Amino acid sequence: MTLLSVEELAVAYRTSQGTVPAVRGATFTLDPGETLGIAGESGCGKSTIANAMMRLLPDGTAVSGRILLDGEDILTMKPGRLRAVRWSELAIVFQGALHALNPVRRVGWQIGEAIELHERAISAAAVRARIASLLERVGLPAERADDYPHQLSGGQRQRVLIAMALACNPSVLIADEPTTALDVMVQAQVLELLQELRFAHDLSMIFITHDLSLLTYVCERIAVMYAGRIVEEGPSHEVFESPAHPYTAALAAAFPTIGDRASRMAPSGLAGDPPDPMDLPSGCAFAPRCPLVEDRCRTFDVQLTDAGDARRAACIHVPAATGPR
Amino acid sequence: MTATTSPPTERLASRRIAWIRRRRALADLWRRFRRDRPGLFGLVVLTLIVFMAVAAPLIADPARFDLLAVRDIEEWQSPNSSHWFGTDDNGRDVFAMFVHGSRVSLLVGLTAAAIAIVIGSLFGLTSGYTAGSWLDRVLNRVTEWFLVIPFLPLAIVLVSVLDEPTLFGLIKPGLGVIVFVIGITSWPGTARVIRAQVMSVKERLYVDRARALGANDRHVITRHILPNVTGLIVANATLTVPITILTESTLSFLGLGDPTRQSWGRILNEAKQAGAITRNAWWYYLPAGIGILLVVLAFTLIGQALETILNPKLRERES
Amino acid sequence: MLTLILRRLMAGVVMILFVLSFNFFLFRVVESDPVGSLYRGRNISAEQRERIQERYGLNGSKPEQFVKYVREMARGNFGYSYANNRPVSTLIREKLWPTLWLVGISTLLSTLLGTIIGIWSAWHRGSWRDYLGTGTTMLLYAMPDFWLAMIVLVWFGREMGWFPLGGLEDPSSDAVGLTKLLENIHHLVLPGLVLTLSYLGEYALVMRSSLIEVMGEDYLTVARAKGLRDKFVRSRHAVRNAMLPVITLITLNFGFVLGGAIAVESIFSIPGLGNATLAASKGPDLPMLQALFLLFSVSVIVMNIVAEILYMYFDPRVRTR
Repeated sequence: MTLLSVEELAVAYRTSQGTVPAVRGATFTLDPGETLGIAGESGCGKSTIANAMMRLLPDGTAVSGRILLDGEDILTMKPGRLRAVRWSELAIVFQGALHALNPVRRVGWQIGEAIELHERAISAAAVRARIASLLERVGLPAERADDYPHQLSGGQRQRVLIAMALACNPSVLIADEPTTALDVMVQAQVLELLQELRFAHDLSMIFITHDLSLLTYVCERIAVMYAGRIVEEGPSHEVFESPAHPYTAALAAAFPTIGDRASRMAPSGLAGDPPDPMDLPSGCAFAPRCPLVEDRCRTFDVQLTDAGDARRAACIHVPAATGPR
Repeated sequence: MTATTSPPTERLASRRIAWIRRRRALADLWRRFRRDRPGLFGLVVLTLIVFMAVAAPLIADPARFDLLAVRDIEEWQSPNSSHWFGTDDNGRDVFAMFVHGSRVSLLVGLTAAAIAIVIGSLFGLTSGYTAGSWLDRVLNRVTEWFLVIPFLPLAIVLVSVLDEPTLFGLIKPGLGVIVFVIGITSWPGTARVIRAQVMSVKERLYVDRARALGANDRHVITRHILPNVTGLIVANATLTVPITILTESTLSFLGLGDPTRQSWGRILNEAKQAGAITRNAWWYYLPAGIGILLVVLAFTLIGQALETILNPKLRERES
Repeated sequence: MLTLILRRLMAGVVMILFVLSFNFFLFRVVESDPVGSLYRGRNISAEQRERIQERYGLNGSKPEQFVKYVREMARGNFGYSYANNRPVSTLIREKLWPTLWLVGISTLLSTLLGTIIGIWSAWHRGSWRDYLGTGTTMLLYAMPDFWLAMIVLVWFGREMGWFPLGGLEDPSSDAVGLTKLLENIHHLVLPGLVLTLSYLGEYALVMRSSLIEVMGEDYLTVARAKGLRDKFVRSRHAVRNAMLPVITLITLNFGFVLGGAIAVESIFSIPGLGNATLAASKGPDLPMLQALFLLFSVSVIVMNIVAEILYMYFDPRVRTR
């Protein structure tokens, strides 16, 4: 029974230079207790999907498709229902925690605000108790509730954001690059924390990052995005070890494998840059950079097709892919 | 560790590159400015008024407001074909006064603003660069102190009292005094803003790196700090002019301006004295005020446009 | 935080001493022979001159005069006005209230209106509301206040006849008590309107740009994600942060309140401190000018300190560094 189901989500921003298609038809599902990772370079649309799921996109952005949470379409919810659902069912943890926290309010107050929004009748004492227990759950002393954001370190702020996200016991947690702004040791700690919380609360998570290696550690399934589309999807270890899409292969290869001297000495990067969303190439968007490109790739844009057990990939080389013969 | 000097040809080449880069930056600035419609409107209005001020003697004959020459002209005429803005209580042509009055308002406004900017920038740069030192503290106290002095009363007092050339004969009674007074009371705002910016630039990493590479103070100031601060100085300058112009017109209105010259503030003063309010001679008191309004508005719009362009934080968020 | 406040107070005291000295020396330097200029053209005996100088504290060397000056000031004796020989302290007390009422209320109203318009414009940035709000406030900001006063005077005073043309009271009426108060208020409406309109432009523009800067911050998105209604996101998070520079501006402007309305007081013939400054500068009536100057400066210094303390309260980042 799927908890969250995204169907053909398409998002286009409106800017002074014209419409920018950030997401061009994304479809995926999330089961209860599952963790799905979304990977891709900057600008591929992964953060847009996160914002779209909470309907936090700027006014005027064109959104189409369906986002079904327990059967209800988030995109067509009335404002009152949407506000009730936000945070209590779907919560989000952003990156760059200094700016995600209000600098002139105490940290505890900000967590408390979330609680009070969704539980009107709760007493002040109960709120304080909840804040204390939330902070402790993320590994921070309860006294930290009276601190201001600038008094905390980067790692501590990220933990506060996680505590805040859990404040209303959501069913789905979206983590948008939660460790990107942190140094490696702290990254590891935060990831550990997320894993613990996941199992303790049977949380379903969507983990968004550009760091593919992280995803294999945290997530059961991965979706790889390129130029606004999901180009591959499947169980994380399989996707990482035997990628079906050349882009995934390139991402995976960019990380030298420990113990493998060859990859350490010559890490392979991918030449070129992701395409400008306002000027997408015809056919497959990855064709200009693809090492396995063929002529028909430039005219035919492959959709996601089954590529094995619970796996899908959008490439002409997938055996089941239909294309012009 | 001193940097090795590069051969002259290389230096020339790098200087040309810098020039080209600067020209391109200016062209880019102009292109961005053009897109800001209020700013453009301000620029157009300002150009028209400046043109009017510069060509004043050609547009309107000063004899039309010479008291002796207009003795036979009918007073209090409302606008007609021979007197576009009508006449005042002495028969003087209001349009001619208006056109010539623009000169003083613009001249004083711009010169005083220039003085204020120069003093303010020097203070701000020095203070910001030596932030935390005794020099900074002293300069800060002086700035604060100037901010504290109520400037209009000070201006009034100084103007009414300085009726002889002072300060090595540079400040003469009349316009000189006014320019001096307005200049020295308007600079603290600039100084503060510049100081804050210099301090923030100084803390940026690339300045540290430049130092690690052996850059001396002069290099850091000219190559790193100045380029980042110049934009702010320009934007601030454009926003200081409205203040100086309003101050000048207020002083003239209060009767403290230069009595030998026309100025918009003075026109309004004379209008009030002549009883234009009681007669509702709108052609007398409206134009000068609208003139001040337009000039101030123009500079404010241009200044805001520049500020938006040169301050990345204010720019429209490009997703 | 207490040490910071104390340090600011000390600095304030130093400032005031500075101002005292500046005050004293400026006027002495600027007008080297006050008695002479006062009694221009008239012959006075040496004895008379001696007595006049004694009365106005002008005998003895400059340092001696300064000491006497400070001592008298500490006692509350600000000397006698050259113009009408009455004690300066009395004159100032008489003229203080009209100015305080007029400018104080105008500042309050303009702050309120200005910030509201600024918030409204910024929140609807780019829409017709923004253009309307910003356009109007810019126009008001660009207008010289004395010109606006003239227009208002002609329109509401002359043409409509709704309000009197000047002064603080009707010379022919002999009303007292509450009726008198109402009469005063009636006279203050037009100048108050002019000042309110003149000042609100600055507040609106600063509030708007401050709020726009804040509006791009991530914590607003987070607040919305928590399920907070738009208007609470605005008031609890956005405005709270955007208020900081505005608070400083408001407090500082309060300091300038006392000396602020010179031109408007002049047009509407309000017998306040502004008009007094103007009249005193024509003499120059040194004791009056000195006292007025001191008063203006002290109010600015005090407000500066208050502004910094308020800012420390509202922005925790400044406190705990």
